[in-house]
Amino acid sequence: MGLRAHRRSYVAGYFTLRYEAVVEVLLKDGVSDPEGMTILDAVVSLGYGSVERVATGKLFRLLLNADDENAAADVVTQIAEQLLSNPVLEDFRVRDLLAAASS
Amino acid sequence: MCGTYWLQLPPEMPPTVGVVVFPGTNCEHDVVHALGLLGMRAQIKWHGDSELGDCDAVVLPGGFAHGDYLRPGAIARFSKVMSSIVKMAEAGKPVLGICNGFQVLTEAKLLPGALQKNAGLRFICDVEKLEVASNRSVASTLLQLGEIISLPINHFEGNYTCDHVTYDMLVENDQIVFKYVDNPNGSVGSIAAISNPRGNVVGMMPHPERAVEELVGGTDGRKVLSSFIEAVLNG
Repeated sequence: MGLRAHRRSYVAGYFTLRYEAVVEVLLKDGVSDPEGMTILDAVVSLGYGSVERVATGKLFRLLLNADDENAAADVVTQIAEQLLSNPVLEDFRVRDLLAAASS
Repeated sequence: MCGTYWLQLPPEMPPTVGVVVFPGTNCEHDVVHALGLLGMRAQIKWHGDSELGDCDAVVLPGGFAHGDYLRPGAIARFSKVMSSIVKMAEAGKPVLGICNGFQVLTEAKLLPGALQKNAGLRFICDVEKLEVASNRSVASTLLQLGEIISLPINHFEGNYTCDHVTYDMLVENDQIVFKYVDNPNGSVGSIAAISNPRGNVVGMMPHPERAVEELVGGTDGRKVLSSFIEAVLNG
C-alpha cells in the first residue's frame, strides 16, 4: 500500500489521502492521578515550588488513510471513544490532524 | 470427531465452570483449586477459544490481562472469548469477575462504572473486612445481609468509580454486593463488588479464591464461591 512512501495511497479502488492524528487522553477532574501527584512532588523537590499541579495522560499518534479531513477526524474520534479512552474516567481530544507529509 | 465418540459420552456432563485465561492472567489455578475443593468441576479456557459452549458458568480470574496495556481490561474486551461470555451473561448464566476480571467486565460494559487507581497512591495487598450489601447475586446467596466477611485484596486499580446517576441506579436495583467496612482505596460508596440488575454477573475486587483454607488466612471465600456454585447447579 506504500503507507510510508507515498502521500497518496490506493485503497479499495480509489486514491485516498494520508493523515496523521494525535489523540490526547487525560484523566477527568476528580479522578485520582497518583503518577501526576508523585511527579508534582518531584517537581517541587527540584525547586519549582510555583507548580501547583501535574496531570498525566496518554498520547496516541495514528497514521491513517481517508478521503478528506472530516472523514479522518470521524474515524479517529470513533477510535478514541471506543478504545483509547474510558468515558467514565477520561476525556480525549483529537489534538492535531495533519495531512501527512510525503517522504 | 466421529459420531460414536459422542455416543460414548455419559448422557449428562457434570456442570462445569470455565476459567478464562488471557495472556497475563495469574489466578486461574487458585480459582480452579478453590472450586474443586468445593466440589465443582472447573476447566481453564484460553481466551483465544471463542466457545464456552460446554461450560455452565464462567470465572474471569485476576492478574494482568494483556499486561494491563492501555487500561486494565481494555484489550481483553476484544478477545474471541468475550462474545461467548456476553452470550452467557445475557442468558442468565453465572459470570464472576475477580479483581482484573472485574476490570474486564466493566470495560466490556457488562457491568457499569470503572476501576480507577487507588486513592492514596498505593498498590494494596491486605485483608479487608466486607459487609454483605445484597444477597441476591450469584456470589452472595449463601450469606446474610449485613454479615461481615474478610477477604484479601491485591490491586492498584480498585477504586470503583461511577457517576451519580449510575450510583443511584446501583442502589435502587440492589446491585451493590459487597462494601468495604474501612474503604481502603477510595471507591464510591465503599463498593467492593457489584452485580448486573439480574444478579447473574458479578464483579468483585477481593479474591475469594485466596480465602478457602484456614492455613492461608481464612475460609470466608468459601461462602462466596459456594454461592456461585449453588447458582451453577440451580442454573
